[in-house]
Amino acid sequence: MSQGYLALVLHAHLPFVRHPEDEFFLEERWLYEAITETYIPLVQVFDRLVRDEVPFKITFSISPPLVCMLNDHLLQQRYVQHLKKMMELAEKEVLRTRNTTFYAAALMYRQKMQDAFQTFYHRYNCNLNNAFKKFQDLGVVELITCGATHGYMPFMHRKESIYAQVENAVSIHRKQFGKNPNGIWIPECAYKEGVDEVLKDFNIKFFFTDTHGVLYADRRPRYGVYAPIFSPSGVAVFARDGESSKQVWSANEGYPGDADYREYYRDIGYDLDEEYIWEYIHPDGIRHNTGFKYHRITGDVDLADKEPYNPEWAEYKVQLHAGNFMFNREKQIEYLASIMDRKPIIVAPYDAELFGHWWYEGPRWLEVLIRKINQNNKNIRLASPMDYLREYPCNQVAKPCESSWGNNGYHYVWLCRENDWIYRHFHEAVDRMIDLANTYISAEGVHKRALNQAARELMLAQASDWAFIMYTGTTVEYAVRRTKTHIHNFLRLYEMIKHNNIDEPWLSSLENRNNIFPEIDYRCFRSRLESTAV
Amino acid sequence: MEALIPWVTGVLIILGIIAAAWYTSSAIYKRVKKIEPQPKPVPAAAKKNSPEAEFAEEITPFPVWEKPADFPDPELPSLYNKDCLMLMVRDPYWLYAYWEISAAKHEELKNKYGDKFWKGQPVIRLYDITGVHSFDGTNANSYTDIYINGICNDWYIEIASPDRKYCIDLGRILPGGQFVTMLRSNIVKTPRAALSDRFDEDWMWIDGIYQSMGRVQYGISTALIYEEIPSSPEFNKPMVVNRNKTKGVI
Repeated sequence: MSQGYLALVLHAHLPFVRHPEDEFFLEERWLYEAITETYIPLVQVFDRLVRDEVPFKITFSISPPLVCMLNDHLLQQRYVQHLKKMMELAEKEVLRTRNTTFYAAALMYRQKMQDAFQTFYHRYNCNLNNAFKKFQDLGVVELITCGATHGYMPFMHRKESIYAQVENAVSIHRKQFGKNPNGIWIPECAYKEGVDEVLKDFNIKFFFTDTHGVLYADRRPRYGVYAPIFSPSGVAVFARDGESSKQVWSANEGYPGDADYREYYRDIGYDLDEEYIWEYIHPDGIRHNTGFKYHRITGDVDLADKEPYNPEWAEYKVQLHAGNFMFNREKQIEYLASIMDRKPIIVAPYDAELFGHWWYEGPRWLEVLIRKINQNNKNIRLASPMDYLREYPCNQVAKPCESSWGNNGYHYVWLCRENDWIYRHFHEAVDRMIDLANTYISAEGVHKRALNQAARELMLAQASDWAFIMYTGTTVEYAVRRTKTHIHNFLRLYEMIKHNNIDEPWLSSLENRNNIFPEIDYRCFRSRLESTAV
Repeated sequence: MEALIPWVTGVLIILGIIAAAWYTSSAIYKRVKKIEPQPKPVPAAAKKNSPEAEFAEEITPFPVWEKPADFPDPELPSLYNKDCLMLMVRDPYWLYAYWEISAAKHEELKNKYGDKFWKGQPVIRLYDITGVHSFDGTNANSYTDIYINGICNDWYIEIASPDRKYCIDLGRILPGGQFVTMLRSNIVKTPRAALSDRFDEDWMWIDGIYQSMGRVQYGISTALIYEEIPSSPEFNKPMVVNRNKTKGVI
């Protein structure tokens, strides 16, 4: 019998990036790279574990923009084209690197690309949502949802806005995966009093905060972060365990920084002659990552001095690090179980894109970890928060602390000099959208289409990703443009709706371009009973 | 003057050589650059976080490639012509406020106080209203005036202690010393920044646990029990076990 539980939580999210107007839109590559390097490898890991009958449980949050992009035919087609190009490049790379120290890696990439194509195209019919649903139905993955466009909830000044985010998320999740989500990943783990009440209305049972979200609750939690608390509305709150997070997250101390792991910043997209690589970079000659990387982290040396990547060495480290992680959790659980009068749960949440995209060996590490826990360890059991709540239905009640998992733990990342200008526009747009939803109770035809598109544009602007990119200060143009464009579109639609003068061709072009949430109902922004400012 | 000509010519020749050298070296640099690793997009962490930091954005999202936009960004209105003073919480020690004063309000204040009004010192009056039930401008625990300039339309406000309630007024101090409120903000509460000292505990059952039990009605004469065991339609709501502490009841 196990002494405690480990809840591995992966949060998969990308902002909605879809540009039908440009076949080579660079930001669409975010999706393609994530599919090749993260989502497909994770799906393959789950498939192998299922095939080998290894019992496991992982909580996987899949954000609605990602669900919509994975469903989108245009993006699916473009991805298949992209993957075919990469397979072609992989073949060339095998020839180019023959008799060099890079040959083993080139063979590895060729195999990976072929496997990716097999998984994506043949096995799951170009839609990875099918894969996630399958794992959910098999009971090995607890699929949960996220804010509809990953909107930053603490800065939504009207509760209607939070309702719109959650209502659309739940409805997409239900349609795609056939059931109501038990849990939600609130975007950026950003919690503010009142958010839980909205979740409650959609029958959501649990959400996550950063460590201090629970630890600094208004009443000191008896079990710290090793058991959930109930918010006063009755939704369970699970908090991140700092120790297990750090081992994986930390750029310096974490596993991903090991010298034998693959170096992210050396890529043939930058390294090779244009004569060779031009077909695989942007047609305008803009260089970017291709995913073909032949060096290992090596140590604290210049990029030029990185040494060749050796897949066998990396695999050895994967085994070592998975064993180390398991050992640490075992000791942690042993200790916690000795001082607690119930089994502890360790919540280890990560961005899914960390695995594979940034930490190339991440998916493999996850697989080895799960296999090791299953083979060697009777102390730890993998569980989802829902499993835990079934075993422990009675929990302490306390108000969680307003917080986020961003730098400094509160809202600084999303409210600083670089991005504070957005909120006066958001708040105005939300006020107007609520006014529209309350005024036009049963719109029809083109009027209804305009109202629905207005809701889409507003929610797309609200994505926390844009404010985050502005905060980082690295090439903010795209984020600024997306924010301004969506708000601008919204304001224009608002005027058209109010004056009953809708430019139908323009509306159609918007619907075609920003086609997130095909079945959105603008009334999700209506004022509800007792819905007030948060 | 004539003596200067060789000097000027000499300087021009030297400048020409420097320019040519610069051009050649930059051209070479460009060629070299193609086959060398580019300076890569720096992850947020490297720029913003201390080496020990280990927060989520350290390695996410993906780097953004630079590609010039084909068309300029649409411009958003700088004003919406409304009266608004929005107060937001950034962290336990900082608030942020933005505001807008409509033309009508401008006119109203001018009519009421005359031209001298706009010569008054612009001020944010920060009220600590922790524990105050209905704040009316006079019953704050304390207030602090922050002098600001007259042209800004937002401000970051540093506050002393976490876990407190605040409200602000945007106003002016008239030459006679009188404070006139122009706009009042919403009320905010700052987050905690430490463990709570409250050790009393409430416990709650997961909702739905009693769903299958059907309607339970006994001891109706005991008002307390009747209140605590809800009738069927209410069974979805959580029950608070500790009957003496009703904080957790919704």
